[in-house]
Amino acid sequence: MLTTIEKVIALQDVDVFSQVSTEELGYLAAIAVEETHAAGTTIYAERDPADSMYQVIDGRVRLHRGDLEINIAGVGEPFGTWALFDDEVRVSAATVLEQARVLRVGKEDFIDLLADNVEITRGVLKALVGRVRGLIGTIGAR
Amino acid sequence: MTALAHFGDRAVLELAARLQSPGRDIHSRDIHSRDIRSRTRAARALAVIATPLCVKTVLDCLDPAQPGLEYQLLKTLSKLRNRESGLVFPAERVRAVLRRATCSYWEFVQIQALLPANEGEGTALLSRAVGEKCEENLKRIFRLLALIHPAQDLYNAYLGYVSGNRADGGSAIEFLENVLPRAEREVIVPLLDATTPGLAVEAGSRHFGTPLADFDQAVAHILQGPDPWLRACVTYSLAENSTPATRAWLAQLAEDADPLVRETAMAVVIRTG
Repeated sequence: MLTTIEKVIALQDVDVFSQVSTEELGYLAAIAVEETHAAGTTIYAERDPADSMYQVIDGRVRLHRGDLEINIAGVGEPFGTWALFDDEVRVSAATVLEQARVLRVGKEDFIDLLADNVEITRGVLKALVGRVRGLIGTIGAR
Repeated sequence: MTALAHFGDRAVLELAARLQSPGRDIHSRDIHSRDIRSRTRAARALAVIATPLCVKTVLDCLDPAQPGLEYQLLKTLSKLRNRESGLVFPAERVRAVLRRATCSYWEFVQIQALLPANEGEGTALLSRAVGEKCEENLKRIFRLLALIHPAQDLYNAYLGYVSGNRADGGSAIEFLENVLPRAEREVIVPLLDATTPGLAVEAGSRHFGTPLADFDQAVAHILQGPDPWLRACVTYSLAENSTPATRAWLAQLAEDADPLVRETAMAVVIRTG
């Protein structure tokens, strides 16, 4: 079982949390649940309601649409992050390739946390704005 | 809480009682605590009422033993300053808090410089957390200065100082040199103008005493301090930076009153055998 501090160490590598201070990540760690999934398990299927984001602690998770592979999430990598920000269904499925230990952050807990903690909201928005700026820069460079 | 604000000064004592009630820092890990929300809203309501009594109340509630709450209250003071330009902030009280914030900044600069150069994830987390505390104390310094000096100019100076742009940083320092009275200037400017941590430590030691000597002293300083997050981070880093002194502390930390520190210490004890 990961301790709170170990969860923070993992969560600081998630892009959308990169601008959240370590102390605020401690609150996020408090709502992050550790889960273990056997190889072959479907963590979520296409068109499932999107209610959580995940981060791989150990193992590998395949993200795919039918047979089309989109990505393989390895150690430290997040997946299903959009679930925290909108109410759309899953656009891909997540299937465990090798027994995987993941951190799961549920959307409802996350929204409650944002409501109580403006500094986390600010950090997440900063990271999202950074992403948009990066995209604009990329388009502008073309 | 906003409705309460309509009562003006009649509500201030009630709001002060909310702020002081539990005597625990708002950075408790109990994230859904109604108490935390209530105290944060009480601080916001005081900023809306914006009378001289609010200024006095917020200053009275500043408590170095509760750094999380204190930082929220410094933000409230900034809001009061922005909302009512006619409010007077007692300079001597503000300077006393400013001296404390400056000393705290100096201490974190020292701690940062004393961290071991290993690549462990615990040490990296501690380094990041200490860096964040440095930044937070820098904000405290500029917020406090802005209460007793031109606020917009101080804000611009802050942005210039943290911009990473050498020319803007130089202009910010020059501005501080010109605007601050001697007593403040002599303490703050050399510390912020130092180009290396070593020079910053030396500059601060002229005003705040003997600096910390080594990592063990830095650890002891954090562990004796009021910040549970830093205490937990330093505890976790002990797994990578074990010395006879730190091993002795771990046993005590496993019995600590703070649940986060206790959980971390127990995990480190198990990991290090």
